[in-house]
Amino acid sequence: MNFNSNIFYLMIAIGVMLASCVKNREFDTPKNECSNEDFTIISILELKKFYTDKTVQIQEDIAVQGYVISSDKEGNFFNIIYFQDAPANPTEGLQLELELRDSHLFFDVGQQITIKLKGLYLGQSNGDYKIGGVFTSFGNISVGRLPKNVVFDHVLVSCKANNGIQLTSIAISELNENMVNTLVRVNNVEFKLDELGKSYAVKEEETLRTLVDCSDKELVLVNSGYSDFQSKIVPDKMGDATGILTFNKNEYQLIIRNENDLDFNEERCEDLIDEFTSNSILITEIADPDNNAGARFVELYNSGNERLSLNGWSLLRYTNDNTEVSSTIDLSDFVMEGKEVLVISPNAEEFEEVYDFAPDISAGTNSPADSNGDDNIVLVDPFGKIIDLFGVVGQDGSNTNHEFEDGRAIRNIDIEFGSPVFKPSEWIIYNDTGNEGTLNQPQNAPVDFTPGMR
Amino acid sequence: MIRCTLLLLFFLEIFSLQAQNTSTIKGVVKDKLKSETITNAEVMLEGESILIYTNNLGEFTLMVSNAGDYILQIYTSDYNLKRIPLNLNENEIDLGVIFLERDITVEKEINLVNITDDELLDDEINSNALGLLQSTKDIFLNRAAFDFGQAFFRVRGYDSQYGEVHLNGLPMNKMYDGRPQWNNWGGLNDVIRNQQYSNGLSASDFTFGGILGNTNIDLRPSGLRPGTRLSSSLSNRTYSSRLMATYNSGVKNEKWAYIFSASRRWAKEGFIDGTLYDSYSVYGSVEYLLNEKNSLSATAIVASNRRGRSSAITEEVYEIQGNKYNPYSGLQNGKIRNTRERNIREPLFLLNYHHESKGLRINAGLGYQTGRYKRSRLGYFNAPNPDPTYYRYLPSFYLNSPIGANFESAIQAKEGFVLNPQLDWKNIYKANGSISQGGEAAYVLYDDVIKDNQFTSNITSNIDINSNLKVDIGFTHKRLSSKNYAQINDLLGAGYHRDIDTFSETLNDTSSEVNKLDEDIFNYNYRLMGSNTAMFTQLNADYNKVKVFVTGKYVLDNFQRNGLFQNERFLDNSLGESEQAQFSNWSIKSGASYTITGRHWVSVNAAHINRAPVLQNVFINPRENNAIVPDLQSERITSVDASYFLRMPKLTGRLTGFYTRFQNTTDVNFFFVDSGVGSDFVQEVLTDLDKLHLGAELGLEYQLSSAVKLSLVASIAKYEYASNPFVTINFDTAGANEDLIDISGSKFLGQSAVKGYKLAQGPQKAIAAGIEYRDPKYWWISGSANYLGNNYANISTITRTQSFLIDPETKLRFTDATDENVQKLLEQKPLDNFYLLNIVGGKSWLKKGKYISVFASINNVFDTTFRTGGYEQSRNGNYGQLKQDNLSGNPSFAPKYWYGFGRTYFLNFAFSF
Repeated sequence: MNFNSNIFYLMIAIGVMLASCVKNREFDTPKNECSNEDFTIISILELKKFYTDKTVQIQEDIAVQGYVISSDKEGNFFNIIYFQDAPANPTEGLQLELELRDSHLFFDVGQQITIKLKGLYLGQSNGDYKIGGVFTSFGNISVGRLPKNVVFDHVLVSCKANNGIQLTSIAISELNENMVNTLVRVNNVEFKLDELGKSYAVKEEETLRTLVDCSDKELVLVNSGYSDFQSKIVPDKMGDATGILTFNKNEYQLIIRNENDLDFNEERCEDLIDEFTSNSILITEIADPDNNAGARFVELYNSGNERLSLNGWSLLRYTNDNTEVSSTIDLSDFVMEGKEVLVISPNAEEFEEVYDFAPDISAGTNSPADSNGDDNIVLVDPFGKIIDLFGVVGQDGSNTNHEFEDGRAIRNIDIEFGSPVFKPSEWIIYNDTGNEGTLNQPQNAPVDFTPGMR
Repeated sequence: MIRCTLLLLFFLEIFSLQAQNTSTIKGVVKDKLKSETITNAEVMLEGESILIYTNNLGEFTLMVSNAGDYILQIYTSDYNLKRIPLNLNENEIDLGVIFLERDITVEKEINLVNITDDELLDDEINSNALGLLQSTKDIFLNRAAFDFGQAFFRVRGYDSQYGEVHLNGLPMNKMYDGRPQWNNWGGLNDVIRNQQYSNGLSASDFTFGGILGNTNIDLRPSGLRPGTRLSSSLSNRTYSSRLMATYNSGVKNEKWAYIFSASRRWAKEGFIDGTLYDSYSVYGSVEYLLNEKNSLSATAIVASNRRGRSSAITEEVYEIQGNKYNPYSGLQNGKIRNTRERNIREPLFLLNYHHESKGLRINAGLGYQTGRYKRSRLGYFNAPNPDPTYYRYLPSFYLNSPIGANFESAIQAKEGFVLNPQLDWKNIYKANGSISQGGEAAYVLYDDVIKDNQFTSNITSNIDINSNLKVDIGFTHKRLSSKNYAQINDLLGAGYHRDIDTFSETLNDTSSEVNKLDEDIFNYNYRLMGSNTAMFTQLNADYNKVKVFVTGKYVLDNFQRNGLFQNERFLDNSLGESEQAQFSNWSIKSGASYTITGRHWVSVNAAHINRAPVLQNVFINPRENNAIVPDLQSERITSVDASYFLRMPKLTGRLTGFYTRFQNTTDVNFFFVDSGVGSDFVQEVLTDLDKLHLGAELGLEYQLSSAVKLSLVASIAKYEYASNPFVTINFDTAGANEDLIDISGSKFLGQSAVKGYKLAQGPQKAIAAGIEYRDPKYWWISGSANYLGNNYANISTITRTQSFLIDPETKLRFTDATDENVQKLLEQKPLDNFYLLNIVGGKSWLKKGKYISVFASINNVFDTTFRTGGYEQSRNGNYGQLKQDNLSGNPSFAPKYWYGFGRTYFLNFAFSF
């Protein structure tokens, strides 16, 4: 037995073995398959005419084409695809029911698809047409989900490049039935006031929310309780809403694909009602101490039991006999609790020095809180209405019944409501003249004054 | 134990003092064709244990003290066994020249592994131990391996973890599942032929062993026939072609011997669709003979095995697609691509020392094994399940709709399934490239990788104290470090994979970049560490008509997990080292045999074994956390067998009865379940699980004439659950959106009433009748008719707990869940019984000293369709849902089955010189 020849045979054998090959694990990426086949294409409108009065199965070798407009990526659509007949200015749209989750992975928005209709079912309810498989219940047939195993035999991606869907903005009032099952952009809408602060949808429930435009036209927004954004709070601004328009229960409804379909960046059409009026707010003390002009103040009082936001409120000063407003304090930032006073000082430092507590508002010199005793003070609500008034606008207070120079004007304790007309009887007024029922009794701070007390 | 041993020794010594009369048998053994003397042939009297070998001149002299009718047996590999009836009566018998004929059926034995490795195809069912039986001459085991194997028959219903495989004395069973990994030396059929097998509970001189049987494969070149052997095969089973080449130098200059062997097996597709096969194996071993008594050897084995896997399918899918159907594969650019490939390459390096002198044998070895075991999968993330047999895609989904059967859609779904049965790779790429994904992968092809490094050391020694007593001792230490992780293999056109748990939106690793790229490790990453130290000692006594042995073993096991990822769902116990799971166990085994006459003898064996759970049943959810099964118990096995052996001149056989009880076993399973207590993906832990295996084996062989041999074998047995195990389910508690079953992350469901249900351990009844014809002109043919029955699918245990009866909506018991209704619904039905006919034949030629042979086999001649096994799906974990699903007769979550191969062939050409 020749040793060398054995080795020789062995080498040949090994060579043969290694040469025989099995496919390794490296594979080329498959070419993106699209369909350029020739089909007998009918329009969506022509297809709808196949519907007579009940769900029908299409027996003809025909196809319909459309552009995908819905996406189930965020779970707001489930086992359904909407498509329309053109990427821009569509005239018809249709929905396809199919047993395929995450269909967005296979049918991109904007992609043209061709649907081979033979064997599919066409149905209609409320003027809303759909195609798909079949669903039977008690002998009645309706359109159901197309079984997954035949989806890709019936729904083909065409070779046409995907250039997206072009949208034209319209107002709610311009919506019409030709737009049903197409993608629309509704401009200048916002969530209805009483839905602010709510989530898109109640968990695991289909939830209806309402969009309104500035002229109070409404559009229902349908959200799935299984969508990814279901628990998010709806945006409180205004803007354009993009979605698939559907028609249900005699009203138009919009279904968005994701949160970004609500492009809400502008201020709402109308402000929130966060400005309120009340006649329970009144002026209760005005001070011009004889001994210290820096210790002047004005005191307001809320005689009601409810707290009140002073958003939009202001205190005005008509200096001397001026008929134009001389200075203003904007009270918007303040809230008054029921039975609470608000002290406004032009010189907070001095005020605190004198009265031993800080004023609620520091208003600055020459403000309505810095009157030298012959000016008129007016309290105005957010709507411009005079709620309370001290003095007579246009009349210098000197030597009148509304002079409080070097003294003090204090509202009688039983007065609960402001008065748009000055009523001297509601006041006790101290000054350095004592005319017309006032008391000539100059007052000194702090002893003769009661800021913060009512 | 030592004291007992000494006592036993003492008694046995007394026996040996009895007077003995001796007979002498002499002879010379030669090859019939070439008239060359045969050295190293085994010579023994049947029923006796004394074994001698022929010397360099082919001579032997056997001295025995027995009297009566005996059969002298002479055997060497590649030759037919020679049996010579003798009457011993203190006489001297000279048999002269005894010619042995070359065994023309030897190819059948060599190719057994290829025939049975069909069964090793899938991990889920890789529990078959028939490879163990390759070299056995026992007719029952032979038939079990050759004929029952294709039907997933398991000897005595045992899993392969109960049989040990040793290479050069080093144990090869894996710590992870206890099973030998046959693929580690697959394809090297020429060099693993020298095997020493001990069956069942009988004594093995190299290990305490398992209860199924133990085999030691002696890889040393000096033990194998010198020369060159080339062979090539064709088949339509797991592979289509095979080439093998082996060269054995034989002992050169009385110093050196070496072997080189290589093989390659491949197929684009096996019997099952889409199951590629791509394997090569290289083996080299060199042995240095220090002197006559001592030798050293070094061995390296590199076996790489890559296969496409197949899936178990429901009857619904089978009815539509047939028994070759494989949902795991599909075409990509016209080429078959299987999502589930298995790729094993775990090279093995051995250093061995062997000493053999009069009365003493020592085997010492060091082994190092490294490498990887990869299984690929197609993961899907917020994307449709790519499996074409997913329940929502099948006709039954429409038939089982809770609002009424929808027949039209069912028909439509069926038509679609017939047209599109395979995995759709095009759509997978399309999804990954979709605009809305922005580069994020919806589908990822990844590998579950296990990277093991194991060091093994072993020493055994066999000491003959005197002619009657022999002591075997052994020590083994194993140390394993096993890295486990998932690795991206192919992003399938996507840019990255976002590695989060899509159900709870939590991170799989809190510290690494969430977006993973090709080749990145993701999902899970941990290391398992294990050590195993075992000692055994065995005493064998052999007296005239009685042989006795007793063996004891002591084992220490230690397991630990080290998490390399911090999992957001298990922040506190995913990263770092777990507690250690430690076990110390002892086992004892003993047996005796009694020779009634030289033609009849009986033996009885018993064992009581305690063993640690295998590594895979220690941790509840090792991919995510460090939790160990609470109160983890060692498994206890009590086993007895008794055999009667018959050795008539023409009729030989064996009848064995066995009884085995497994106690305190632990099992961990995972699945998605809609149970009575809620729905989740759970890890189910079974504890205190007992199993019972009992039955009888019969093997008979009758030599009708010198050319015709008949055989009959049978195994009639019962394998069943013998206790009601405790069931606990575990799940993660992350993700506020889920309705949690229990805030603690686990729920105890009480006992599962499975006692009396049958185990899924292969046919519990198997009968084969065979006939073999050997023509003097060196061809042979044999056929066997087989009947296999009482096979069962694995049951779901969670549906046998009380939670099954609870309505998850109302939290109350279903009103119609009466004991009778529940019993009917959960009844276990056997798989169909079936018949198989197998035909094997061959022819060989000797030309100018070169040996050429052809071997062919046809299995399942009548192309019978049969199910080899299966399992109930656990999805329907409450009565209402399971009932609803079964109404149509075509449940969506029906049991899944593996279907056996139809008619297959194997053809082999061998050339040796």
